[in-house]
Amino acid sequence: MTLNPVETPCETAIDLATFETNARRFLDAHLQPAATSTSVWGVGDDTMSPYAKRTPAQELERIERARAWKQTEFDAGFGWITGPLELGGAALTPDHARLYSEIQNAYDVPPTDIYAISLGMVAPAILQHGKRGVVDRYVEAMHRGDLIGCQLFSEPGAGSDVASLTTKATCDRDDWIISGQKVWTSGAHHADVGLLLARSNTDAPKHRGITAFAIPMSLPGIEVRPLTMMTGGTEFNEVFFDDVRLHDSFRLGPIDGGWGVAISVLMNERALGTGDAFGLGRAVERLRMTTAVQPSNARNPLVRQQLARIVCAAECIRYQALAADGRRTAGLPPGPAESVFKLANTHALRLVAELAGQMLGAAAIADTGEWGTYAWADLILTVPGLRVAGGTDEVMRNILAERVLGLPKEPSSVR
Amino acid sequence: MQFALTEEQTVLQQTASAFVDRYCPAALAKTWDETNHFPADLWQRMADLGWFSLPYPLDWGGGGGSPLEICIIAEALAHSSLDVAMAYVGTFIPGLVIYRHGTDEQRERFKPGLLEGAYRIAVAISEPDAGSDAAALRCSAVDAGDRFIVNGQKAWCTGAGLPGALIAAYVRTDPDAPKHRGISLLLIPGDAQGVQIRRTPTLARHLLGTNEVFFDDVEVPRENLVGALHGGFSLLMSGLDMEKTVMAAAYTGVAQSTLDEMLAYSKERRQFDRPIGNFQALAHPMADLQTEIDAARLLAYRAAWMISSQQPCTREASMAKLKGSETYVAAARLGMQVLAGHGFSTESVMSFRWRESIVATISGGTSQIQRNAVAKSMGLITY
Ligand SMILES: Cc1cc2nc3c(=O)[nH]c(=O)nc-3n(C[C@H](O)[C@H](O)[C@H](O)COP(=O)(O)OP(=O)(O)OC[C@H]3O[C@@H](n4cnc5c(N)ncnc54)[C@H](O)[C@@H]3O)c2cc1C
Ligand SMILES: Cc1cc2nc3c(=O)[nH]c(=O)nc-3n(C[C@H](O)[C@H](O)[C@H](O)COP(=O)(O)OP(=O)(O)OC[C@H]3O[C@@H](n4cnc5c(N)ncnc54)[C@H](O)[C@@H]3O)c2cc1C
Repeated sequence: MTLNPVETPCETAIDLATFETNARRFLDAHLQPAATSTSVWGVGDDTMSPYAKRTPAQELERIERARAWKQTEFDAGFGWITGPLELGGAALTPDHARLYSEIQNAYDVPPTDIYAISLGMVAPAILQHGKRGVVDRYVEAMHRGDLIGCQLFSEPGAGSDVASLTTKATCDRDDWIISGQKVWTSGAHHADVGLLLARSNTDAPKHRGITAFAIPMSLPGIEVRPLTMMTGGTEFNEVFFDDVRLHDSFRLGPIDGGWGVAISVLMNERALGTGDAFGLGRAVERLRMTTAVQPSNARNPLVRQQLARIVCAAECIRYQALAADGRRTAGLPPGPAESVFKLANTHALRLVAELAGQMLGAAAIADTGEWGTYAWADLILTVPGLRVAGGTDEVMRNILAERVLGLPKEPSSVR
Repeated sequence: MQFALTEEQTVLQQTASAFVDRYCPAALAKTWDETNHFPADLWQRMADLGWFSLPYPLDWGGGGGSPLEICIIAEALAHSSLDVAMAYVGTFIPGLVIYRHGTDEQRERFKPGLLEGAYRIAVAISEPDAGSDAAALRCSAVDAGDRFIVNGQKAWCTGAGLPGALIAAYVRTDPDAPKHRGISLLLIPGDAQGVQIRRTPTLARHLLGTNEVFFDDVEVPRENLVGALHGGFSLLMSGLDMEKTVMAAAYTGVAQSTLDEMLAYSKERRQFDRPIGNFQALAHPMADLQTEIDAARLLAYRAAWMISSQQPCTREASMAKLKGSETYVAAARLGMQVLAGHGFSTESVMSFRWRESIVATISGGTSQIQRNAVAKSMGLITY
C-alpha cells in the first residue's frame, strides 16, 4: 500500500494564515503558554531526560497524559497534519506541519516521547510497506495515540551489525513462526505493535535473508522483560519470541526484502534527530538559567566561554535542522547527511551535561532538593545512551565517511 | 631512575589484587552500591592484613609503610571500585591527622582503633555554602570551658551515617578572626546528643554514603579538640598532599580496571564478523587511554616518592589528582561507548563505573581547584 502523504495534498487545503489562526485557537483552548515551565528558574517540572527514573504509577500517568493529548490533537485535525484523509490525516503540506510545530513550541505540551519511535519509524514503515488490512488496523490508531509501536531490531548478538540478526521467521503455509530474542527495545512494555526484523532465509547473504513484519505484541509466545537503564528508568526491554504464530498479512515488504524496510526505517530514525527531538534547545536554555542563578559561575570566564561555544553549536544545529526540513519539504527523502544531526546533537548534549556538572559541583550528583540541580544527573546519565541508541557515534561517522564524504569502505571480509 | 617495584612491594600488590578478586570483585562492589550495603566484614579483613596500621610508624605500633606502598594498596583496591578504595583511604587519612596533631592522651586513646581501622572517621569540612572555599565554613563551636557547644550544618559528609562513626568536624571557633584563622578540629561521635544525620541521595558512592549532618547544641568535651584552638585550617591542609596522592593512585587503579573491562569486552564482542576492538575507531581511543593511565600512575607514584623523601609536593599531588580523576571519567566515558547498549543497562559493571566516575573531578577538590594549585606554583594567581 502506498499512500504517500506528500503526494496527496488535500484539494481544499487551507492557507497557512487561516491554519495558523485555527492552530493558535486550538492550542490556547487546551494548553498553557510554555513560559510558565521552561524558562523560569524554579517553576514547573525540572526533569531533564525522557529516561529519568519513575515509579510505574508515574510512568503510566505520563503515558496517559501523552495519550490524552494525542487524542485531543488528532480529533481536532492537528494530530497528523500531512496524513491522508482516509486515515484521519488532515492532508495538508509539510509547511503546515512545520508551522504547527513552531507554534506549538510556545506552549506547555505534555511530553510525548513515548510516541517518538511509534510515529517516527513504526507507523511510516507500516504505511509504506504494509498491506491494506495492517495499515487500516494500525496507522490511524497510532497517529491518534491509541496504539503504541516499538522497534524490534537489535539482538544480543546484533547491534550495530543489525543485519546479522538471528531471530527466525519460518514460513508455515499462510503463517510465520517467530523464534528468538530482541534486546534494548524501547517502550516494548507499553507497545501494542512491534516492527520486527527476522531471518527468513539462512542460506542467502545476510542482508538478503531478512523479512520485516508488524507484530501484535499481545500474541501468545511473546514475553517482554524490562531492563533497567543506567538512569534508573525502565524504558527498554528484552523481548522473547517463543514459536509465535503470525499471519503473512502482517508482513511488510517482500519476503527476504526486510533490509530495504530496515533502511527506510533507519533513515527515518535519523531524521527524528532534526528539529529539537533530542531536547538540545531546552537543555541549552536550562544551562543558561543554571549559569545565571550562580553569580560565581556567571562571572567565571571559562564557564562563559564554554557556554558561548555550546550556544553557537546549538544554533548551528538548529539551522541545519531547518535546512533539512526544507529539503524534506521539497520532497527529498532523508539521506546520510541526517547522521550529522544525531552526532552533532549528542555531542552538544554531552558538552551541556559536562558544563552543568562542572558548574554545580556536588549539587549535580547529590540531591540537595534544590530545583534544577540534581535534575542534571539524569542528563549526565542519559548522554551515553544517546550516543548509542539509533546508531553509535562510530557507526554514524562510518556512514558520514563512506556515504557523504565518499571515502573508501572500511576493510572487511563481509561488508 | 628506577621504575621497578621492590620485591616486597610486588608481593603487596599481588596480595591486594588477590584480595580484590576474592573478597570484593567489581561486580560485588556494584551490588553493594546498588543496595547501599556497607560490607563491615571487608574492613575486618583489611584490618587483619594490617593495612590500616601500615601508614603509622613502626615505633608507634604501625606498619611503617611508605606512601608508595599505601598507593599500591589503594590502586589495587580501586580495581573493585573507587568507593572501596575510598573506604580504606578515608579511614587512615583523618587518623594520621589525629596521630600527628593530637595530644599524647588522644594518641593513646585512639591508638587501638586507629591501628585496627575500627574508627569510621567521617571528615566534615564542606557546608552548603562552603565547598571549594572550605575556609568559608560557618558551623560554629562556642568555647564553654571544659566543652564546646556546636551548632550548624555540614554537607556531603562521607560515612557519617555508619555505625560507630566519629565525625572529624572543622568548626568556626573564632568568628572575628580572618577566615583561615578561626577554625578548629573537633571529634564528635555520630551518635552524640544533638547530632542529626540525613543521607543525601547521590549517583554513586553508596557504600559509605554521603550525608548532611546537623549539629544542634551538641556538647563536645574539650579533650576532643585536636591540635591548637583556632589552628584547624593548617590541620585541614596538612594531610591534603598525601590524600590527593593516594586518591590519585586509586583513580589510576579504577581507570585501569575500567579499561581492562572494556578491552576484554572488545575482544569478545563481534560485529561485522570481527571483534569490535579491531575497529580503529575503538582501538585507538583505548590505546590513548592506556597512555593516559600510565601517565596518571607515574604522576601518582612521583608524588608518593616526593612525600617519602619529604619534599614539598603540593604542585605534584595536585597534578596527580587532576590527571587521575579526569582519566577515570575519560575511561568510563569510553567504556560506555565500547559496551554500547550493554553498557547502558544496569546489568553491566560499566554503568556503575560511569555513575561512580562523575564525582571524581569534584570530591577531594575539584579539577579547577587542582589547576589553581598548579597555576599558583607557576606564579599565576587565578583567584
Ligand atoms: C537507550 C537505548 C534505546 C534503544 N532502543 C532500541 C529500540 O527501541 N529498538 C532496537 O532495536 N534497538 C534499540 N537500542 C539498541 C541500539 O540500537 C544498539 O545499542 C546500537 O545499535 C548499538 O548496538 P550494540 O549496543 O550491540 O553495540 P555494538 O554494535 O556491539 O557496538 C559496540 C561498540 O563497537 C563499535 N562498532 C561497531 N561496529 C563498528 C564499526 N563498523 N566501526 C567502528 N566501530 C564499530 C560501536 O560504535 C560501539 O562502540 C537502544 C539502545 C539504547 C542505548
Ligand atoms: C560524593 C561526595 C563525597 C564528598 N565527601 C565529602 C566529605 O566526606 N567531607 C567533606 O567535607 N566534603 C565532602 N564532599 C564535598 C566536596 O569536597 C565538595 O563537593 C567540593 O569541595 C566542591 O565543593 P562544591 O560542591 O560546594 O562546589 P563549589 O565549590 O560550589 O564549586 C562549583 C564549581 O565552581 C568551581 N570553583 C569554585 N571555586 C573556584 C575557583 N577558585 N576557581 C575556579 N573554579 C572554582 C568548582 O571547581 C566547581 O566547578 C563530597 C562531595 C561528594 C560529591
